[in-house]
Amino acid sequence: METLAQILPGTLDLLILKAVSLGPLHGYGVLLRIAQISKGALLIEQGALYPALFRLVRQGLLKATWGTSEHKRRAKYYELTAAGRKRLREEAEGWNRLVTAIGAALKARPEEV
Amino acid sequence: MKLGSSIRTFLAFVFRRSRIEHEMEEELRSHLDTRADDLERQGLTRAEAERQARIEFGGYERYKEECREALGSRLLGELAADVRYGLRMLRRNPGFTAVAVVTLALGIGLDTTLFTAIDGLLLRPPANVEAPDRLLALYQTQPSERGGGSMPVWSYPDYAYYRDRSDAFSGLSAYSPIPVNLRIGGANDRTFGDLVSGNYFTVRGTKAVLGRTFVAGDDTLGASSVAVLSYELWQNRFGGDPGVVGKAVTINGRLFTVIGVAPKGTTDIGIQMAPAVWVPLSAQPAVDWPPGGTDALKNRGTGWLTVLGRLKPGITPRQAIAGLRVVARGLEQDYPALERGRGISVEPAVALPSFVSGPVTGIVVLLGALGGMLLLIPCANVASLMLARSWSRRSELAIRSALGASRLRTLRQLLTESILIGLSSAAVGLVLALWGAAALPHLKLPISLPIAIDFRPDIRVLGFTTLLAFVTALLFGTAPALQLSRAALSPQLGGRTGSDVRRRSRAQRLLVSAQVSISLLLLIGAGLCLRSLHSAERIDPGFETRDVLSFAVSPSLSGYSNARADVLYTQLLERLEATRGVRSASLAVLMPLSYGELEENVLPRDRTGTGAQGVQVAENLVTPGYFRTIGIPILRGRDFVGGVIDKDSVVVNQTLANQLFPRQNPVGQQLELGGGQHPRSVLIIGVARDSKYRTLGESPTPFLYGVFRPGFEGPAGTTVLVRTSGAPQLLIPAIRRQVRALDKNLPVTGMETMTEQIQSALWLARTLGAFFAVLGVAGTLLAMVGLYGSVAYSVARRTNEVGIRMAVGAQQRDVLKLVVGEGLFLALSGIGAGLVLAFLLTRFLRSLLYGVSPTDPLALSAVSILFMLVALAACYIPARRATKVDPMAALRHE
Repeated sequence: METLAQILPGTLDLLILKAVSLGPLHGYGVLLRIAQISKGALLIEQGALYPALFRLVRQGLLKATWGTSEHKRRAKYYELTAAGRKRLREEAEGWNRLVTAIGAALKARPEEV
Repeated sequence: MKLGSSIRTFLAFVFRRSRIEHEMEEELRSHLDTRADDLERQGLTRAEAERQARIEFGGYERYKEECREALGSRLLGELAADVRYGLRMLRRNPGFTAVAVVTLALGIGLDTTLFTAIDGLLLRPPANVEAPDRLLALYQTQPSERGGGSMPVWSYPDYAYYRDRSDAFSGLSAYSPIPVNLRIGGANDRTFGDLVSGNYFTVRGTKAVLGRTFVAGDDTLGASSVAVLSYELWQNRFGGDPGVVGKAVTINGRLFTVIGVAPKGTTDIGIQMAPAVWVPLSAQPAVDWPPGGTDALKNRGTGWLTVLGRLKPGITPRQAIAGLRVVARGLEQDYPALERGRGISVEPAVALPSFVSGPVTGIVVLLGALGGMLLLIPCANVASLMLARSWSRRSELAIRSALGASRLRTLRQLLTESILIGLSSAAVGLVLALWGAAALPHLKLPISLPIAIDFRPDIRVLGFTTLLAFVTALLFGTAPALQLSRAALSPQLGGRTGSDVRRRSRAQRLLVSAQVSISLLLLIGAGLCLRSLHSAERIDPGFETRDVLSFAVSPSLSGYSNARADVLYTQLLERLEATRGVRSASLAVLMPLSYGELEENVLPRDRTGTGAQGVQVAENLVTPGYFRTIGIPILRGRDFVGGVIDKDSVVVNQTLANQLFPRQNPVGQQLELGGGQHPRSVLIIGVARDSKYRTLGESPTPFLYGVFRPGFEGPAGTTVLVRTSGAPQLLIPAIRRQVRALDKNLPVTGMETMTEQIQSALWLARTLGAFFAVLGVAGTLLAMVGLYGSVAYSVARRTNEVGIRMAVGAQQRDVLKLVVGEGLFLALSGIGAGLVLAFLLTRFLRSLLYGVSPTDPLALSAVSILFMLVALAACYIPARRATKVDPMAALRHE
């Protein structure tokens, strides 16, 4: 594999919420969707996804229901709750502000100081 | 939401644990399979694809554990594992488990029984009372020059004065217990009822289960006579007849119409007396109690009512008392002669009134202290057993900690085991307590009042027992768990360090000494009570107790006028004295050694007008022949002869004679009785020998005998005393026949021999003595187990040391001395501490001890010596085992 970016601590929840906001997904589907929307640039160990999913369900941000996957396997599907949608919006805004600020800081040149 | 979801997870975990685990497994499995499908499609073989999927997934079990944690179920999982492991440990050591559970169950069972008793006596709110905390009991207070303190009862006019002026209360009600002769359909019952104000049921918030309770209109003079029945009376005497409302009952010779039935278990508030009927205060003349026509409703000087008030919503007791003080000042101004200096105080109505609760609280504090000891002794025992066992568990725990268990985790595991033991003990203890509580009501009270105390254990008792389970678990489990978990951290597996051993020994010694001293204290308490009972049996009551029979009749309650009662009494005495086997018979207002009260203000005639104050002297009114019948010798002068001659005669006892007329002949002296407005002049005609009047324990008391006259019935009726020439019990049927021949509707109550009466007088001492004895013996048994256990442990621990000593030439005798000496040192220090405790604590028993000092040397030394012998035996048995140690085996043991 090429060198992929490690996911920053704390951002996995945001990625999961974003992935699920595009439509209900099972766990493996969440992984594929994250790979897809990050253009394969982000790497996570697959198993690490599940504790995060369980935590989000317990926080009431995700809702889980059992269904049948496209591979005809029983799978647990996750979707956003209203609280999850709100949290995604807040976290995305926070992330954007952070990125803008860090980006601006990194662009700083000696003569500007 | 967080809490809600935690609770849901918890419940889900408890009830659906396997389902959650199953679903988690299925979900992760589904992920692996789907990934493998994809990899297979990319060209891998199925086996390779599955392997690759697993690698990409990462640590399967680790993530599963993290999922559990995310679900909040990890702690619970650990708890469940601890419980399973703990149960296995306990099953593997059945001997230890059985001893620990039985020891603790004994303590918990006794404590729960104690709690049930105290709960029933003091803590349980009265039944069928709405918002009992808003009810206040009102007491008038006395000016200090008249003795101060609160007066237990109110006169009717004073009550009415407050009732009409107290804005802070939604109602002030009054009641008074009265003796009642109840006739229902030809059958007579002597029982108790309550005279109550019209608003009584409204104020306490008690609604009728059938018909209605009183309204204000029922409580006006001249209103038709109505009564409310108790649920129990309705069930027992009317068979629960739903048509009872409107029926007639005869109360003290007058007809009353039943208007309703009170709910089950309705008692007075405060002292839990259960009246059979309630009648309005306006019926006081009809039921003739207090006797004397309508006087009781008019006389401001006669107290007989208890007053309860319900606070208006939003009013605090402090505001209420401020308002009441204003009323009290008004009353003082309106009736200065009688009311000057009188104030007002309030107390929570549900508590026992302060003049009763003082002694009761003392007893309860004593019982509470005992309860604490009863819990501490078994806990100390089990803790020392656990310490002994911890020796063999060190290796196990060292392995656990080597495998990565944290100290906290180990501690939690050990405490879980303790709690399991605690809970099992609580279960066994609860069974013991149910049995004990069933025995409680059999402790017959020595008074013939229908006090209805509910001793059934309820949910609060269950809660108390569960609490005890956890408290005991922490008490006996913490020290061993701390030591063990510390041991678990020690570097060598199963290694022993000298400092560890020393530390544990110190804790253990302390425990054993403590339990020896506590058991010793209990035993001393029991010993003192036994001694006290023994000497109480020998107290001379001052009269001849053999061959005397007593009973009571209450003609006034059967509708007799004073004149008719006088005739009845005369005929009754004549008939009794004519009965074969009766030597003499007489009447008295009060039964000797009963709790009745009759007092006179006494002042020698020649000191009247000098401003001298009289003394209050207890009194009894008796017929001629009383002294002969009960066997009190007349030392000077003569007995009453009756008739006009003795209209104004009294007999005094020695103490009163010496007090009033030292170095003079009291016979022939004149006394002024009554003081105040209606003084009465009387002549002393005789001096009777001192005797006991109220309790056997009392010191010589001044006492006065007046001439019996009808219309003065005591609370139990008029006492009839009969001296027989043979066994008194045999005459009971004949005596009952004589009474029935005179009036078949006159109930005879309290038929008893004087010997039985004396036994009742010793009730408190005997009951408490038995109680202490039971506890003392139980405590000693526990202490013996503890001492034996700890010395046995010490022997086990020192096996190799003993082996080495014997290998280098020590004799059996030396080993015996070594081990026994150590045990005896423990016992002696415990006994020393126990004696110090005894000196400090037993003085609280003083009021219960008849003729025995709280530091009675015989009781103290006998108990100490007994304890030394027991300790010696407890040390000797394990010590003998130490002498049997085979040096070679002992050395290999290490």
